[in-house]
Amino acid sequence: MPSLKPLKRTEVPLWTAIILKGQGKCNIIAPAWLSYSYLKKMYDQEKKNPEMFSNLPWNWLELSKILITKAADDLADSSTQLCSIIKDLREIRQLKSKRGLRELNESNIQLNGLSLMELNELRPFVLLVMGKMRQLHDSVSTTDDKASDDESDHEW
Amino acid sequence: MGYYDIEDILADGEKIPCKFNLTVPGLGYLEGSPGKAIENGTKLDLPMWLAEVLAVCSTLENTQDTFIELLEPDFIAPKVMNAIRADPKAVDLHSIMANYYKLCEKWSAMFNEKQLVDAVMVMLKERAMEIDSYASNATKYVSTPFLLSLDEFEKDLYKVTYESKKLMRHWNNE
Repeated sequence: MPSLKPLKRTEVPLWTAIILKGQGKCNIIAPAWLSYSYLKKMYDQEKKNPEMFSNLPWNWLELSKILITKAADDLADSSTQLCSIIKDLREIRQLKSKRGLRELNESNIQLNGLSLMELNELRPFVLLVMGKMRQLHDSVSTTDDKASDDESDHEW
Repeated sequence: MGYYDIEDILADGEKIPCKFNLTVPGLGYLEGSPGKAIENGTKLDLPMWLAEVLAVCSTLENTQDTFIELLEPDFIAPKVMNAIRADPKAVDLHSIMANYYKLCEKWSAMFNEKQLVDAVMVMLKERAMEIDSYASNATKYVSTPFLLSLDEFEKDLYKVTYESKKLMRHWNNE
């Protein structure tokens, strides 16, 4: 842990920052992406590219939620504004991931750019459906398929 | 899946139509006439686990004859398959066969029915998307005919999806 001096910027783990913030001993400097203008830009990007997810941090949902509830006064924009743009972003991304699910098959799924929480939300559904598809697919695999399956098993 | 999977056991107990290839003395109770023999050519519904074995094992060591012959069961009859191809979402899977996907899996494993599997996979995807959108519904009581037509696997899928969406909402609002 670095030594903490007044009015000096230091990097500490988020949990420490939250505790210190709770005791009124520090201000949190919000990450650059957590601002209305940046998120708005991302939203416009999402709208422009219907096939792509915009580039947001791996855990943007969790971080923004924590910072908005615990350190709202340190953020550049009002929390209502942030909340609404985050909600918009989430919805447009959900719509996209749903469209991506139409491409489900028994072997793989590609959802580049989706963040941790969004993946977790989909996971149970995708796992069950893909599991069933794999079982159905495997029930008719010919001898050729089986041979190649065995090979790929070894690679794993 | 697995030895203790109740769905698997129930699916094994589903009856499918078969035809006897030989006369078996004393088995008459299967068709409601105890003490008598079951005649060659009798058509009878047998549970999957029994039919599977009897249809594969040969009666004598060096013959191709099997005890029974499997007939085409209702759940893959052309009428049903056409309905599935026409509109997967409108088919009442539960009333056709409560463990539809399991049964299809077993059936195609025996007969290597690529076409059946392809049709069923298309249906599964279509219906899964529909289930997903119903599961997003936040209200507690949903009554649509579609949810009543789910087979056991799909019901499970609905429950799991609903639960994960609920947890997500909960996390969002806490």
